[in-house]
Amino acid sequence: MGNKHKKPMVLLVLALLSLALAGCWDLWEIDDRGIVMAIGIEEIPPEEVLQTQGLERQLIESTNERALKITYQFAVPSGFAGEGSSGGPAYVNLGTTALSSEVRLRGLISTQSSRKGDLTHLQAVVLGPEVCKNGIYCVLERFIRDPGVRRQISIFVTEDDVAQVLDVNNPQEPMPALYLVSLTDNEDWANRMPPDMQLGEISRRIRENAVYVVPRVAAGENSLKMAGGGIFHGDRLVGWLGELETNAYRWIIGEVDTAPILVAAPGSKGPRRTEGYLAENTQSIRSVEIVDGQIKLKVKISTEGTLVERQIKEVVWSNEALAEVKKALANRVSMDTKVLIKKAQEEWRLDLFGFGREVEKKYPQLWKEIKDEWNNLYFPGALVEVDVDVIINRTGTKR
Amino acid sequence: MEYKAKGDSKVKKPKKIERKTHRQEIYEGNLNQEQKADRELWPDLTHNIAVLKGRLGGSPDIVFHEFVMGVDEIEACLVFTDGLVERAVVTQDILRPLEIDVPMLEVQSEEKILVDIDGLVTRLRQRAIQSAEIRKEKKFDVLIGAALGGGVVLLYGDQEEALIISAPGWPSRGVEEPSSDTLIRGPRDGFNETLRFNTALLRRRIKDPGLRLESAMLGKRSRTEINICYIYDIVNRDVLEEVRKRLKKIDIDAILESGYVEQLIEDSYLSPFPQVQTTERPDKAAAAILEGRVVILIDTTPFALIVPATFVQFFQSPEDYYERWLIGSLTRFIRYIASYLAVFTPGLVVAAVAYHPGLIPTKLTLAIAASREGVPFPIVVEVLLMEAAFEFLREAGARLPQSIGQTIGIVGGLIIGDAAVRANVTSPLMVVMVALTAVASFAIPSYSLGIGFRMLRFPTIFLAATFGIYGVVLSFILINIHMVTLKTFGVNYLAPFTPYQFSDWKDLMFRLPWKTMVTRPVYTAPQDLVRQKVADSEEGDNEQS
Repeated sequence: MGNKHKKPMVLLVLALLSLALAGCWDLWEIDDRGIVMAIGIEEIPPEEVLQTQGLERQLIESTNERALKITYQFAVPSGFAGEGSSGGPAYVNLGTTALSSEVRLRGLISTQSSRKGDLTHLQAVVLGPEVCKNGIYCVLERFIRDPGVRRQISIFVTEDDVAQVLDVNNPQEPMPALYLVSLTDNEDWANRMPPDMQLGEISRRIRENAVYVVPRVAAGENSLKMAGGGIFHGDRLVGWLGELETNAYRWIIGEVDTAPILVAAPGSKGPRRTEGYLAENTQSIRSVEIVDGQIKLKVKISTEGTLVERQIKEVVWSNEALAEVKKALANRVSMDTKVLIKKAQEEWRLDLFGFGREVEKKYPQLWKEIKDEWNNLYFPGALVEVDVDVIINRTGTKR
Repeated sequence: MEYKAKGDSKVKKPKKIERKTHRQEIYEGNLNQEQKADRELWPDLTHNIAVLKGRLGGSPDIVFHEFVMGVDEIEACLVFTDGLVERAVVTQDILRPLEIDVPMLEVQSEEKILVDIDGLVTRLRQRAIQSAEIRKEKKFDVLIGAALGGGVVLLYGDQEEALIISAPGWPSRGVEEPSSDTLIRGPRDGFNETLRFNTALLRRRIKDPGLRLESAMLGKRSRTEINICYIYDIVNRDVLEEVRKRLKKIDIDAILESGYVEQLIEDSYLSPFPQVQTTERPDKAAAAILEGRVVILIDTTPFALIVPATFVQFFQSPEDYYERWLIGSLTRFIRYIASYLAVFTPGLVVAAVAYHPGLIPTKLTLAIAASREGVPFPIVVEVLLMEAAFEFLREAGARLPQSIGQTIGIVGGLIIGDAAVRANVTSPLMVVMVALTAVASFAIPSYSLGIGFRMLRFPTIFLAATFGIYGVVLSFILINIHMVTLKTFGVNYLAPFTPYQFSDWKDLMFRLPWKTMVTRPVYTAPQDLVRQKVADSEEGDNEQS
């Protein structure tokens, strides 16, 4: 009636409406959820697609859709939980085929799974080589958009069969999805893996049309191996980074935690007598400079670490000997990195290391002109200078 | 027939009116008009005895002992309640002197002592009766009250005044260790059912002349004595005035326990939170008095009331102050955590499992899902079942004799818990959760607050079941709104959290060292804030070090 009661009434109505935001219709008990732990996606080869008939065939032909084979890894809780487990497997993999535009992937699998798939605990997405070559955005879009999916999902590429990767029977880790993710935790001990690439990060890189490396996983008899990576430009796979290349790649981007290097021991002849160096604190500063109209890429790596193994006879390190080892170490690192940069310049013609950003920061005007041709023209033509500074904090014990 | 029935009802009506006056009849007996005017003693012993007998009825426990005393053989009568007076006092200290010693004295000194009442009183005080308290009284009501309350009434001769000699001696428990409020370190004595003992226990702790006791009678029929205790120059006068006012308003037939008084003077009877603290411990009561609070001691119950009682007070245990401050702080902090666990754990579990498994770490999710495998009920039903089972067990254990109570614990905890899990009625996780909330609710030193929290758990479960985490948050907000608006005797219930009073935080979540607790709590507004003076020499020492 009066204006006096209007305000409280409006507030009351708003407050009551807020109750409708959540309610028992959202109820979805934990035992009614099929907890999806991992998803593997691979493209169905064209010859198989040609065999499809009916509506699917029509759709594929008319819309130029891609046909995908999707493997869902569902957790089987009773097989997972420690002592009380029935001894059955901890997971079940269910596969289905779908068109790339069918975003509602979770609906599809419900034709096979007894429980509706719940993606809130999704740990990993494994992408097959073909789907990566043809572009991953349209496959990942569904996960990027879903508010119920975490941004911290690890993404992997594989050269093997995706279904095989998700079906590795490792007694240490009963669930392949958790096995995969636990491997990414070892990154700081194993320099041959590229840094973990997560969904949120990939979504950003795709948007920026950036160049990045996604960890590669290979399926063995009863184990998985994570080493090397797939090089992506935008949302497409353009090449593979080998294991040792990954090592050098991490030196350049400064993501080295512990990296053993072997160099010949001072005074010894041949590679038999070696010194093992363990980097403990490494920084890498990338910068660009224009010298005489030429773009020069500079990498300054400074690393601190320990000489863990010691194989020369002298009891005390002399300064000369130390200097020699340091020099050998620096040479080794700069050689490795130079080789990789050269390969990036000549073979892939891709700026894997983010020098482009340095150009953008330092010469914004220039960057505007050259950015379209950066990967193709300017990056491959640039000069490279690698400067490695090694500090040895401690020398290890004599064997 | 109908007519008759009507007639009957007509007859009954005046009967009802008679019943109303019947109450007075009990008091005044079947007395004539003249006697109804009996408010004070008549100069006629036989008449006075008749009046008293009429009022008190023929109850066998009320003794009228008639005798003669002195050389002049003056008639006298002792009136007292058997069992409420010390028999030895009556015989040794009252009857013997009156019947034997005083006549002897009269014979020896040839002086007539027992002529008038004043002479009697002086003489009795000087020579004969050793009882501490003797007073004169005229009014029948007072005499009756005294005779029923452990006093001995001496009617004698044709006097218009009688003597009340106090000789209380009723069956009473000794000073024992309180069964609630138990401590590992601290005094072992506890209040009992006799008010005078309790006041003595307080006095023994505070010998300050400022400690005042105010006596009042509560309960029309029970005539329970209560004492309001406070320290004159510390107490918050407003609170004291409010206590007096509220106590004065009480008009009830009987006070059988301090709970009656508590519930009649508390601010909000709808609140699940206790607003008056109860204790069996004299040291706790003394501490409250020293903080400027008011303690109400009530006869016939060992539970003293402490007002005003704020929320934080229920988390304090005397031991916090007796143990070293680190231990005290830790235990108190644990209690706060326990309070949150007691209220919100089941709700959070329901919300997380039924609505937001994404909030639970992956491996735990799988573990929960595995433990729920095969349980036929939704999580809400499971939680409610288990919580209800716990409440049954607790109630059964509390009401049974101790020896059987332990059996209940074994049957309930071990057999039902284990068997229910094996029978797939509930999951092991639920058993763990119920045990956790139960233990947490018992970790709060105040039993009544613990019960309050356990009650709040159920609405929280329902809200969580309908709204998920949002419901738990709603419950939290509602509880907080309620607590913020609650006041107890003019003091904010959440003080000193809000209104914010930082100087009182020394004794809130943590109990800081005694050396830093220089002032009394500000939020209770005592007249004298200074609790201790830090010695100058000590300050000098600190500066040096």
